[in-house]
Amino acid sequence: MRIVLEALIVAVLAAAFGVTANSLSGKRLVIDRDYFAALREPPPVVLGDPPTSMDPTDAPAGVGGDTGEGVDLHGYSGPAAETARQLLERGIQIIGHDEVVALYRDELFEEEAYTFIDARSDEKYSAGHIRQAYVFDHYFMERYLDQVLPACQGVAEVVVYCHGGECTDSEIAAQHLLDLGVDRRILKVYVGGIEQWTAAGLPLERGERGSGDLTAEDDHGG
Amino acid sequence: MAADPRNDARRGGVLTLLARLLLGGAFLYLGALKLQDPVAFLKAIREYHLVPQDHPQLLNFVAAVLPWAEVLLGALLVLGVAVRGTALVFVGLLASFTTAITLRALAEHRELGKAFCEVAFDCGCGTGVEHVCVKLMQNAVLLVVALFLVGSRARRFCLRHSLFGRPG
Repeated sequence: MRIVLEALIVAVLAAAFGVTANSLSGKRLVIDRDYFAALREPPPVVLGDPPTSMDPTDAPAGVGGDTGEGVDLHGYSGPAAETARQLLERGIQIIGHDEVVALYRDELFEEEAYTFIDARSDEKYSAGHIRQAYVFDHYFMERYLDQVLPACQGVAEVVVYCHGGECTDSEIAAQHLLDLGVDRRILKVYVGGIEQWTAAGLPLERGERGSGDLTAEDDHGG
Repeated sequence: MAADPRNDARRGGVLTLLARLLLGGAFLYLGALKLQDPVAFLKAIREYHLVPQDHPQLLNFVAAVLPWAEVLLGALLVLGVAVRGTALVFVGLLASFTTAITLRALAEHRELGKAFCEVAFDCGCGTGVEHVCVKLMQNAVLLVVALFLVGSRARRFCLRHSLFGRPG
């Protein structure tokens, strides 16, 4: 019996230590926060919104969740196609890789007419992000709202990305931005993410936003 | 010549010390790994679907508290404090982890048609994607060590072997 009592005491002490240490940690998780609520919310019933595909002949998606035949997945296949379908069912627009690169190469990119949002952690962002992208780790989103929300106002496009493929962070981040008032008509998720960007040999910026430290020569605009 | 019981006691004490360092050290290391990225740990344990989705607080509590608890428990074992009770907690944790990993691996084995030992995923242990059989073997070793410590009464090299009774 003593050993069981000792185990109970140790377990309670360990739990109390964990709660205290977590509350003091810079990477603390908020116990009563629902981090994945955006993945469970039913697709919004939105009337009068524009189609979620750039092709005007495509049937609008995102209302009622129908993403069957005829829906433009912007070239995504495999796990990325499944993520794309989920986004469209939730009424969130997607943007294909070629379109993202076209925005990046557009002269208006330097004038910050387009905002890129990196939905990964600070560490992954610093290791390499699309140039001029803002970091927005939705698990700690209060830290980033002061920068990110103004950057999503008055621009032509807001492109949200994460790792790519099955990564759901861009979906959750996009939903948070929509809930915070970002215009649904300009917000799009780049489902291919960093994985597709780097596979295409495109440069990444290391460190902070605007550091200029690129992983490869950037022939942007050239 | 009769065996010297003092030699037996020394050997038992050294064996218990080695077991404490192995088990305690392992959880100190694994707990510290998880603490480097608590969000990754949260995502990993969510994949087990053990907690109802409409009770995120329980999932958050485990993700937030468990890594710190592992670090403290590992430290207690390394220092030799409440050895048998701490080892019993580790028995409980290892039995739970092993059960959860096995059930998830069986589900993937059925759904994907892979051989059981070909199944690999990030178990949330802090070491990334691993083949399930490797992980189960590692857990089995740690479980045996923990059970040994639960039964060990060797008090040498302990700061305070038991919370009750005499110190040391």
